[in-house]
Amino acid sequence: MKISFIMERGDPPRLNPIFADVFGRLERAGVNVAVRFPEEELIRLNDLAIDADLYCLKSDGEMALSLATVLDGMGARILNPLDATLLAKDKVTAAYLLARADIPAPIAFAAPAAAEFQARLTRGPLILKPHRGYHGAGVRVARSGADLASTNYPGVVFAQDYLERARVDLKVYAIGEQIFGVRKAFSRESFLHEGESAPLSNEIIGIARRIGAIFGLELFGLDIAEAGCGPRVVDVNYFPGYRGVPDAARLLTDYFLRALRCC
Amino acid sequence: MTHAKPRILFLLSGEPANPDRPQVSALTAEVAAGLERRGASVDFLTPGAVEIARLHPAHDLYVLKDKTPFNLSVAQVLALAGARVVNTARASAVARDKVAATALISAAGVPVPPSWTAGTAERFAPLAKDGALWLKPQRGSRGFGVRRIGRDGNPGAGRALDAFGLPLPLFAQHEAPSDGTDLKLYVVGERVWALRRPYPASTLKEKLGRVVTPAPEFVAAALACGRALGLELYGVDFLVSGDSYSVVDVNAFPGYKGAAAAPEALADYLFNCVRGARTEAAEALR
Repeated sequence: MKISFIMERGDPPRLNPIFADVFGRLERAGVNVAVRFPEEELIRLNDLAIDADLYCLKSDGEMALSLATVLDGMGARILNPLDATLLAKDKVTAAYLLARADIPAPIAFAAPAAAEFQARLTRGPLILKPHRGYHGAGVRVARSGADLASTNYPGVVFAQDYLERARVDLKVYAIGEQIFGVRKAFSRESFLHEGESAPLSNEIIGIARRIGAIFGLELFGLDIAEAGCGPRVVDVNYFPGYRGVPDAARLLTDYFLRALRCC
Repeated sequence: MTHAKPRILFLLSGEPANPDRPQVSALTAEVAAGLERRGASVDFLTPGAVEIARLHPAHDLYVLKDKTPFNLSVAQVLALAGARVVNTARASAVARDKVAATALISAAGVPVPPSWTAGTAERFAPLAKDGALWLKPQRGSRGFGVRRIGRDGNPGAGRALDAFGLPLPLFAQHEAPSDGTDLKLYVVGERVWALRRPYPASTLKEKLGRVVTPAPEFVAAALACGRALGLELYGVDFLVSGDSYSVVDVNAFPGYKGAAAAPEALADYLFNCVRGARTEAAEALR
């Protein structure tokens, strides 16, 4: 059996130690593991073919998503399913799915230009995000018209009511039905940090399971803001890094081995 | 309710000087008039700021004419809310992605020039010894950002980054042989028109080209492109040289310039879509 990981090297280049551990475990279990960093390859598009029993799309990069789109079109099996990944990738569709399912989340908006949010600012600050962004790139808080005027996102501006006084250090990670909590301070590099394992309320575990079902995601993370009115889902991330989840490498390896047996 | 006039909305881009005001092209106006003659009510919209939870379909059919990033996201939400969208947001997005579209068309057995993607331009350098290369942005249109690198030329170095510093794929394609004309096929469902134009076309007259009857292999290749990408309304650009040809571009909902019968065919197709969407909705209520 062969499993192919479509990864993101990042800048500066790195490899998440949990996944380095996973690759070793899979190989010791007799699985042929391919690890690809598409941005470092020269890929001939005329010859693409399915060359693995299972692909794991663990990259937010547009090149990886293009590659996955082709593999999906050819009938490859991909974790997470491509449709689920694309719904989470676009924050506009993700926010719609959360709202439709009554998942507690900040009120979310979209506009072709930030200036269109001027009227909404009378109700409080907004947090602006690129609609296909990741790792916190381009995220900013807008409190005034001047903040909006200096925001020049091309194409789509996604915005949420900014929960000013909420605690924002809780990450939720899902490996299938298994749900874990990790606390780590939010920053542009927080995805690189370990954090500390944290207990989760039944409410948050239930929210995570529902989001998995609604999006069709199996491996995902949630950023949770804990406001006075309860937890709010501020972001849904497909295939996160699981840093801080106890025994993550073994749990992920078991999950991949089960998925391979279903191929 | 099902007996009221069917309502159709065209998602358009805004006028350059007045971005809130939909820019209605001559083609769109003609198709809308055809739909109104068939008994539909037609609206044009350039969507502005929305509270996402409040997005819901108020029309029987949405026509994704202008594929701006904002229109694509709005159309995808409307589809999740149950709307029928033509072309679908997913197909329109894949067609805009040259990396994915080229590979999918090739996998469908349609000839495309040798094509590559890479994260940095210097990876293309060894390819230039085999002939001229066209470097194109992943999601460009209308020739924006396109560069030609002659045989043995230097594609340069560096990565493409988006506005937030995140990496984008680069796309390169070997120059396809051409006998000096290109062939453009326009498709509406299963109906196909073909135009032959000088390559490259510069004047309006040249761009309009002349209508020709396409050989069956071109029709089959164009329809295969549509199936591979999930498109219903699209254009396919071929370069032809002697007995060989290759597809160099596929566009979702093109301008259909030069295909005089296309507006009526588009009105027919869209009107049939709206009738189909209504039948499905009525059956869902039973």
